[in-house]
Amino acid sequence: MRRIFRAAGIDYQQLRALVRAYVWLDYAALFGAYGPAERQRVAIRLALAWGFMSLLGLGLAGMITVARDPFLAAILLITSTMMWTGLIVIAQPANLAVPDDHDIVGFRPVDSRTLFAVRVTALLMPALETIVMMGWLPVLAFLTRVEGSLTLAMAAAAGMVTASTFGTLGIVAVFGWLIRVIAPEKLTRMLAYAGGMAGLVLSAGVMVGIHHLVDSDGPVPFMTATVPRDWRTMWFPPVWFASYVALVSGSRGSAGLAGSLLSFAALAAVGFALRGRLSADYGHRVTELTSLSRPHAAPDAKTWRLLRNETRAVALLVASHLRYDVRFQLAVASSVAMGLLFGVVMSSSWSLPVDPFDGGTGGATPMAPLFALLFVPTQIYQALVVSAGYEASWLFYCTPANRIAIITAARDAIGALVIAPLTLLLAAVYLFAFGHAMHAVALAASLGLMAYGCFQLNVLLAPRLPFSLPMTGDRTRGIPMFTGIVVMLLGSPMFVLFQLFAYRGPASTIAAVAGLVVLNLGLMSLTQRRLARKLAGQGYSHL
Amino acid sequence: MIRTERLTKIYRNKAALSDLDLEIRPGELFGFLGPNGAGKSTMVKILTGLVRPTSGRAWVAGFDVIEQPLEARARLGFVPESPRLYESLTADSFLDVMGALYHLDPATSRMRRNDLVELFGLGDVRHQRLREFSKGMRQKVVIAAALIHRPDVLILDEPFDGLDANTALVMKGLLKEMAAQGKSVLFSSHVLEVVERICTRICIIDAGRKVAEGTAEEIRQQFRAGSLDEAFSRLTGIREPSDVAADILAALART
Repeated sequence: MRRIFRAAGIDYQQLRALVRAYVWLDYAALFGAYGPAERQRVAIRLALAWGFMSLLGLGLAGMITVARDPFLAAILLITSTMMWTGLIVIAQPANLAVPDDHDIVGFRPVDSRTLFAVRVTALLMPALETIVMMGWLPVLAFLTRVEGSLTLAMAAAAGMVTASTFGTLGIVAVFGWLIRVIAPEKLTRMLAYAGGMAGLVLSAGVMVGIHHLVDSDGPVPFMTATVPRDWRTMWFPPVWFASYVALVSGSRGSAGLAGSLLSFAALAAVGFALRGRLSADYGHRVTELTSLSRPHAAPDAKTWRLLRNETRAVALLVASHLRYDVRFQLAVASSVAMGLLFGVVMSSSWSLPVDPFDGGTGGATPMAPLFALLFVPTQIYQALVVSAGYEASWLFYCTPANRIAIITAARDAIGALVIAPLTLLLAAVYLFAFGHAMHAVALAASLGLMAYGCFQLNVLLAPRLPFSLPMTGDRTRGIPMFTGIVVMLLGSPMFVLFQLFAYRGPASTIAAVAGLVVLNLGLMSLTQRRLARKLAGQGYSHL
Repeated sequence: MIRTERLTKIYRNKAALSDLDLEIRPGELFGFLGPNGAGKSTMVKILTGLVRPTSGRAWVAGFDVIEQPLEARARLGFVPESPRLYESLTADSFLDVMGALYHLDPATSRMRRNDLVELFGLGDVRHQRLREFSKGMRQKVVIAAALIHRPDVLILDEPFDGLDANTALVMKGLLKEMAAQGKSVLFSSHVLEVVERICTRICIIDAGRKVAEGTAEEIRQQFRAGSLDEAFSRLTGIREPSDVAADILAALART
């Protein structure tokens, strides 16, 4: 083992020690290192993640069971695998560009390639973890379906693992290349753009690829459809990794062997790319990035003159982090890019939205913008509560600051700086699409209020002081994505109810919007009461 | 003033502080000494609201730190031993945040911030991120943050750590002046010479218990020691320091 790593220029002993430390950071809470309350919290979160991903897996397992063609079933599974892997890796570019452990490891005698290997492992682990959570039921389905077998199940599992590894390494290679060639001052923006583009390619690729291969929309054709076993399908990367299933299922055609060879070639190619200067220069580039000195300008003293006390403190903290903290900038930029991307891609149509007050059908559904409105604030909230300097939150405990006011100020800051502008943007789009100002305002306002209500629910359930949690550990591992989706699932039915009952006329719309206002006020009051109970007697926990 | 009454803190069945009674009156510059792990930091953390005591009570500026925490903290200035800062903030932004957390009027906060930044010699770097600051510069920012709201009580844990000699001299004078103005200053340090020179009264704790209290002269006489160092070593040292040093060198020589 050591020889293989040495040949790749990686110090095995250091890699093992650093990965162990990383794993320990992630699971220490689960083993009770931070007390029983934290263990319970982490265990619940892990159970929820398992439950949610297993639910997705259950859907896939059902399709695998009913699909006549195991190859098509495998393509579906691998496509989902690659999409989830990609989304998880894209969501954390800071893990590669400005790793939080650089201050600890950066000055020690650790080779650039070893550092790079540690970061890649740190990205690969959560991706594989998520794939295991999602994939165990589909793999079982390959075992139990008609003509299923252990070999088939193992081929599917191998396909998932290699596809996930390829997806992670592929995105790491793109990010690593950007880190190497882009000037540090521009990197934040470029990584956000790259993340957005990669997300677009992934999401659009999944839809286009599956549609093109299957050439059918309904569930019945999917059950009976088959994928040709030849070179024609090889343009779609998930096919390469699904080919293991084609290979062991004994079907005729060149797809099995060719696809399998292509998958190994792809892995070798991406491994070769990572082995080169990309990893050799990595340590140097990260040092440059983490010690980036920007030109300093005096902040405008009048900017926050209307704000006072805790609200002013939070505004100053957020503004300063947005201005100078590359990690926070990246997280915010990625969240907005991904949210807008989902908003567009999930609308399943590139046509303009149709006015729901006119009872119109077709066109882009407002469900997709609602998803963006739900997703972005939740993601930014996650970014807002974590910080490399989390231990500086001692300030909140040693000053007469009201911690309830600090948490609600952070919530309100996201409401004012994220949800409100996105709602205004939506209102403008709807105005353009409907040509009716009142309809546009009413629809955008109701979506904005729904989003704020869901976001308040998120804060109510998981209240955190801003910049007070460490970035290492499981908090950065796919959980923000998971939280966003849970909030989306909670919020989406509200829109269906509105479509059914609220957008029928002026009176019902006004009543529904008023109901949303009352709901938001109720959540505000609930949050105050819960925080008062939760924070009473709570001490600084990073001692 | 600062007062504690039978203050006790137990961590996992181990007492970090046991029934500690202290009183630091207005105008006193009080030295708080003890070896590593004696309970000094625990005491400071309780007084500043970072941890809750297991039992006993503590008052800062007349306010119970558990019952009236916000009132107590509003009158307290604190310089921690290893101050963590939001590295992405500039010195100015950090002090503005502090002003807001202490509920200062923005104009007052800005005025005091400007004065403190200039007086601590940070004028040229005020718009740089704290990440780029040296240890001494960071310490100056933390001290400025502890003073910006004009506290009645100051708790300083190794405040001279990293400061250049000139700033340390300024700080010593400042602490004496603040005590003369009637403020209570609790000064925790391992540098016994400094404590001996500037503190009006000293308390030594060991294993969470008070083992000596009085002026430096009183402690020296009580334990028949030539210096405060010697008295401290007798009260808290398990072995002769020279023996321990010799053993460390012997351990390093082993192959």
